[in-house]
Amino acid sequence: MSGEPETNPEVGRGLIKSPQDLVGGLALLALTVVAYIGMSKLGAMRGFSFGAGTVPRLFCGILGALSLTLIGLSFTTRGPKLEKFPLRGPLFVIAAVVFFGLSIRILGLAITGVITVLLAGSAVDDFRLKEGVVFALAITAFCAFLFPFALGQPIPLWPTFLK
Amino acid sequence: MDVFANLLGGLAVVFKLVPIDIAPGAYSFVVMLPANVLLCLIGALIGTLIGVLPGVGPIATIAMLLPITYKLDPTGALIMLAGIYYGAQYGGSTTAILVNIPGEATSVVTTLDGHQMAKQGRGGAALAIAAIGSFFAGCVATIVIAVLGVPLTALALKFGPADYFSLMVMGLIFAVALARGSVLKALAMVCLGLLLGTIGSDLESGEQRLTFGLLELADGLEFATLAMGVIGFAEIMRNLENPETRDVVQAKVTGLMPTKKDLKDASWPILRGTFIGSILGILPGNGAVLGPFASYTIEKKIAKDPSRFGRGAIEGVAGPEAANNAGAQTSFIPMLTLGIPPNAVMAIMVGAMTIHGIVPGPQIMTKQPDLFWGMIASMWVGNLMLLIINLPLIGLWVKLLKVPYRMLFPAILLFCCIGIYSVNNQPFDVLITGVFGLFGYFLLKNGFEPAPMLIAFVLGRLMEEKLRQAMLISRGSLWVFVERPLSAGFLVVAVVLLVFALLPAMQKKRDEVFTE
Repeated sequence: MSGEPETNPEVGRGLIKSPQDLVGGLALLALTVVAYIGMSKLGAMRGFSFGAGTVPRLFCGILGALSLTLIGLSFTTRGPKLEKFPLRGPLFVIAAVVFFGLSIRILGLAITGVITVLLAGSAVDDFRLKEGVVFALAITAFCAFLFPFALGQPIPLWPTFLK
Repeated sequence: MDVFANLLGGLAVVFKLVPIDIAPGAYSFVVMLPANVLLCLIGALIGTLIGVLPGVGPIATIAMLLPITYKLDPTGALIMLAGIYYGAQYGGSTTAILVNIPGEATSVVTTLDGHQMAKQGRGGAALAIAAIGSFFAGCVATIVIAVLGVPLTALALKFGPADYFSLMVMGLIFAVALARGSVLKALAMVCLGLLLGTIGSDLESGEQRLTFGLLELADGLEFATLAMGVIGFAEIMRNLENPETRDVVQAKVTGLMPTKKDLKDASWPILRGTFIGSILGILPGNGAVLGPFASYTIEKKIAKDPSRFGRGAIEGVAGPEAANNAGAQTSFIPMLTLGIPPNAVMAIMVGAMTIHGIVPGPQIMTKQPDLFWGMIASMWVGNLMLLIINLPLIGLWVKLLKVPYRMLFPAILLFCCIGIYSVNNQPFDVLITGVFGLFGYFLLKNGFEPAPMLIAFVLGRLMEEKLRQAMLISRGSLWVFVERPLSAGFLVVAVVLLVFALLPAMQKKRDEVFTE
């Protein structure tokens, strides 16, 4: 795994000593609350037999306690500052993935593949359209040969409206 | 010796001739081919190829290539996936030495001295020593697996639900203690993984848990979507932040053969590295990743002239490389014998096995001995093949490294999408992977390590099942976890480990180990 988090030498000052812990703790707490609401209707313990909700509630409780501790400690223990959150990279990468998910059944691999590669390629600043198109066509052709033909995967290749 | 009889049986599986129709259709033409050896070779080659590419770790590789194995029989599929895994280790070392970029986490240490050797024109020797060290370690680790496999399986078959539960608790605590960064955050990640594991239908009542009305979640989250999202996609986003700096050694790699002195200098480090790596690899948690670090530190400590390290000391390549490969292979032990994946790569192997209808655990060895021993024997064969084929292919790998990342990652992304889609033919899986990708990026940005979450996710269902069984048998008494000696033992180890990891003095030590 090459993208290891580096420790930022600059540590937080002021009231919030460890901003990363605070943000992380808050996010986890939010997830805990959502999960807890989501499991409100699940069965509870009956005697000593577990209900469907027993174990999820147990995990949820521990996670909540841990996130609260994390939030608490972020005011007392120094930690690294928040890192910059660049928009372009994640935005285009996720856009490409979401596009693939939404259109693969409708447009088929032949069209979805090309657009996915182009969208993803736009994530970098030095994106070159001509090179990108050629590359997208080549890689899609390769995938179209490999998955539906050579490996017999049931991936739609052509748009549904052409059939 | 039983062990050798078993290994020979495994070799027979690996070299078994299988009738294969090479021209399916009207002109059926059946040939006898040693299919498993070929799959092993293909797996090792693809693994090396992807291991060479920077920014694609073994987890993403296996998840990406999973669909390729769907049509194979389970033995062949697992042999190929294992080949991909250790192939990726070899490939990772090659980039570490030639480009100063670790192909994956375990070859970080190799960059220190390996790349320096390459700069001094001794790249060939460094690559050769890395390959020889890895091969030796692979051979030893294969024997370790074969020797430990039978007794551990026998032990595992005696486990009651309480013992199993406590063993998994211990495994998760190991994963926490050996993770990078804050212990508290790693614990939170474990809980989150366990919670994510509960999504889907309840084991007994069939009630929908945490599905929020989504039918697609009724069978639970697919492991591949979680792993690919938080590790694969998040890594791509992280890599996009850093402008590319590639320090490819331009000097031609000549003189692949190491000198006699090189071999002599490297032999002891290889032995020590193999030993350290084998032990750390078995430990649950990030054992295999720690091996190379531990080996490097030891070699530096016992060297007559420690200042040579970081300037092209061959010991600094030989030891860690051996440790890396030994650990990679012994990490199969807990998964194959106990059904507990010790690290994220093994967690995805569990996912792969489940897709092929195999339930990991002690019953594999008794019920499917061909699969178990065939896979183990294939590791040895695969290592031998890598040693032979890899060195001549170095020129090709160097060429591959010249492909810029801006062209590489869209292709990787498309492969990943197709891979995830074909697990269940569900577009929903692709979308949820995207969500996990963003979440993984957020985790990376705030110093959370995703690996403990993945291990916890895989163990979650089994843990709940065992907990419920144990509580039912004990009629609701928690004492059952302390009364059984095995269970109590595991819990004591877990508690001691957790306390140690939380001690301030130990935390400092951990930081030192990871930053070195």
